[in-house]
Amino acid sequence: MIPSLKGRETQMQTVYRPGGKRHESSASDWVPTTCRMCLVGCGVLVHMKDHKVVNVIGNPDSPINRGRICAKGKSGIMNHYNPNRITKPLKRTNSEKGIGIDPKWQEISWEEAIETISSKMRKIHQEDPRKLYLQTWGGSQEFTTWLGVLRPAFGTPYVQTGVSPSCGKTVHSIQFLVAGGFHQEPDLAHCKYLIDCGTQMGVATREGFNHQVPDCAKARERGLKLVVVDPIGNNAAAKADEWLPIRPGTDAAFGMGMLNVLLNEARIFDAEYLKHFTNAAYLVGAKGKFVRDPATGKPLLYDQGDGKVKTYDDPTLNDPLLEGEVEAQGKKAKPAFEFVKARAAEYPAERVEEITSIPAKTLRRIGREFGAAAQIGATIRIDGVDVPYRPVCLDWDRGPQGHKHAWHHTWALAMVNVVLGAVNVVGSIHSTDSASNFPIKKWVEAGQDGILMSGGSTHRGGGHFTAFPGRTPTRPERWDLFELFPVAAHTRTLVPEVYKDPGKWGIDHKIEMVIHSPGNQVMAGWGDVQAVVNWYKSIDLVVGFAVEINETHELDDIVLPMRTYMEEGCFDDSSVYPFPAVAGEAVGFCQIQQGVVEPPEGVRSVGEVMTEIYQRVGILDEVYQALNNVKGLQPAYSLEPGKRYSMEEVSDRIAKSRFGAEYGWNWFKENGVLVWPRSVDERYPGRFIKARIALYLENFIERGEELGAVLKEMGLAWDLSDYEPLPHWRPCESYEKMRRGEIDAVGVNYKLPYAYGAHGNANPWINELCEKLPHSYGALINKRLAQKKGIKDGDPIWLESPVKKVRAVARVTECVHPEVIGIAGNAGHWAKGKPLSMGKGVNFNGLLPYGFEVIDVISSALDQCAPLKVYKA
Amino acid sequence: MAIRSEETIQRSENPPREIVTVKVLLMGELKRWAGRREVEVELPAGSTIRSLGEKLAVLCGEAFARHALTKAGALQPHVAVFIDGVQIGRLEGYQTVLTDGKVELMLLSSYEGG
Repeated sequence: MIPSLKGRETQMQTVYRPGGKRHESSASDWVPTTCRMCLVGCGVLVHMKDHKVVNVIGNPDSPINRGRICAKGKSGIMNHYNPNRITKPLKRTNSEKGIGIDPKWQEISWEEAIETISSKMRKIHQEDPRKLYLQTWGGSQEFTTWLGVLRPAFGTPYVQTGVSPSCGKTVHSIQFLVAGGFHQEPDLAHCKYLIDCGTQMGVATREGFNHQVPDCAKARERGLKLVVVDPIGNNAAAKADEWLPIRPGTDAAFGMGMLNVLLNEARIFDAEYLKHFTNAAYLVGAKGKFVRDPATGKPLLYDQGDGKVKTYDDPTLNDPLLEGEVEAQGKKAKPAFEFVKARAAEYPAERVEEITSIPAKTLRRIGREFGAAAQIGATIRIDGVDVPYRPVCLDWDRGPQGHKHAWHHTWALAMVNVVLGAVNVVGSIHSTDSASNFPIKKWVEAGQDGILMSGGSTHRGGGHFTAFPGRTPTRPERWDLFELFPVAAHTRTLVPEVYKDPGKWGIDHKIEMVIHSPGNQVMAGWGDVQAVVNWYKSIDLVVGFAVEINETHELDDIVLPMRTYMEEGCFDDSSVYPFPAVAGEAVGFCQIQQGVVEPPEGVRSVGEVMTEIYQRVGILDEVYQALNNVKGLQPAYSLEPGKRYSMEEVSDRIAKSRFGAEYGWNWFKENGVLVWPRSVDERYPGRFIKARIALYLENFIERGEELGAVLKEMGLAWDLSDYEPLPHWRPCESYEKMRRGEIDAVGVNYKLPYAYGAHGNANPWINELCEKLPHSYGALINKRLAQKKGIKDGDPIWLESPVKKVRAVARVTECVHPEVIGIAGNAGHWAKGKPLSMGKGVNFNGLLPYGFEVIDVISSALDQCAPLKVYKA
Repeated sequence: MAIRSEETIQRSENPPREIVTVKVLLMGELKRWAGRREVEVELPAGSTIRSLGEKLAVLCGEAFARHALTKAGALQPHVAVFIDGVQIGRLEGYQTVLTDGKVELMLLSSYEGG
């Protein structure tokens, strides 16, 4: 047994799986595995009969969904038995590429496919590894493992793990700042007041909607107040006590308005928390920078206890000043909190109403209710330990992230929780994995200036790029201009933009090869599809793994058939890496994805294919070396140089390294899920983390100044006003166009419970639902706007953006903001390999203008407000 | 494994005076920025991971420092550090102490996830 398991043996629980044990020879059986119909990865039981899949149900033992399953999961059967599936490698024979151009596929042997790929990769490895670009989202965890490993092992910086141009743009960075984890979700077991801003909870919220729905229902029975702030009256809004339709791109104003009510009007804030667990008491002097101790360079605070100025870590520090003005280093200085209050004061409720369209009196009422519900100072006893009790949560996600000024929108919302001390404590917002004692011990820690410095999830071997302290900007060398975004997590949004004129940026290498997963990058990865296609066309060799041919594969040079998730077995520790999906009161767990049926003859696993390629390129030993570390393989289970392993062997080694010899691959195949209790400090780590939260982002000033110098040297003039320590609302282009009366509405995307991303509705069951529920393929238009434009429900209409004009069907409703057109999912397919979904619905991303002017200068998020003219067709 | 917690060191009446030889293996972009695959660093036994940045800045050059170290000279949070195959987060983080003998470190740059 590995040391970390000592003392935990009695706490480990093997779980019961209905349907009895699995036997290869059995004619009828239930097999536990993980659903891969969306990013969540719910635990499912697949019913097998005569070696065929006949049903899929939720696995009651999986903490992530507790037996529930959505329509997407149920229809996984149809994805598996897909008549449009490819089963042999394909080679493009038409050198011309573009939207709607037939690639003229020709079947080739695996040998030809693998040798073509290996030989190009070998050349790139010798010349410059940066010529390889990887896209890993979707299909199976195998892509993250076997393509992602090329970053350390091959040396390319380009590992694009997501698809959407707003995916993870600020949520991870902000979680690292305020709580030390990767994602966020409310502690619904205790929360009493939940404000949801653009999360679409219960439908597609991050990793756990199938457990969030029953948790929220129970909480509402208990008296939880739910307020949904969203331009669309979505599923969550339908269940809410109040729906506040907000004008798109104004979340920062709403957040700052809330802060103003709390801090300046009601004066509700957690002073003790702010003093001792944030940098709110750090003294700010000239040019917005901290006053620092000349000898150590550490920020200074004023201790009201003895009237002395001290460093933040002085052991005698007792009662730091939070409000007022003092003299430090011979000059006047104020605590950072004074600047927070002053900034909030710029957002009185009446101004917020003008910007957001949320009535001032509503904002004031909600702000005061939320503050009162926070019960500042309260504690609750959990497992014999008194921990802070702050049963309020302002949750946010995708909506506020998809804007030109994404950082400021989301930081303003995050600060509402912070000033109430409602982070990672009972009833508050939680990071999904900020502290762990088991199976891997990992706690975030204080770094520079005593500030919480987290570089990734507790279980995420590779870590993550963070906003604090940020990186030193330099002239760019990369296609995504990463060097010019010193506090961003990733900047892949920039790649097709740079392709428009690489010389302008001084990029000295070409992307010669792309290997991608079945995530549909062309339809959903950026905006303006033609700009995206232009970049793909410039690449010498595009290789895609596919079950069926989607719009991205139509630009491929080689397509490799892949297994469906029902055929693919790997130690998909999705509950541990990279998306631990539960927080607060939940147990810890690990579940696997295993093949439940045999793949068609000749269809190989991603891991096997890539291993073969790495061996031919001559990098397999480096790959093993990186995996041994990233996956935490114990010496007894390390992958050894010069050897080849089956994927089952690799899975076994990872499982045993993580949980001990008795919990190998076979144990997980039999049992599916391993769960264990979490201690109170893991569940509520807020006050157990020995670090301060950076409420005031002084580092943004310095990074902005450095960036300005680099840009000046390059002859570029960017507006860097967003590089400031505190949030501010700034309008996006669509907002201004609406004000000027140049457009009729702003197009906003929302999600459907039964379709996922840009590949959902090719499934016949999902398509059937979309056709029966007419808003799915239609465009939501508010009754008032419809009347003004003479549009009736069911009318064909034109939606015209600066980059595309599409025909849609109007769905007149009051469940959408009057200035908004709501477009669901990501439909409007044109790929011939997905015949059922061709021409149905609207491809939302295709309507989005794409270019530097609509990209956030901090996070690189693409503005997902589509400026639209709307008229009857 | 030549690692122990800082607490143990502080409790020791006779702190070790030996040298610890740290072989640092650089992966991916870190290798390109440093212009080399590995470096060897000698530190007084009892040094922490936190003290490694200063040495690496000198040995690995300006490009490495710019990308992998903070302004204050510490390793950036996005640089994952493994000691003899164990990520430092599983030990004592940046406070992990390198005792006497030989230690092998692997440094790699994060995925850009999300």
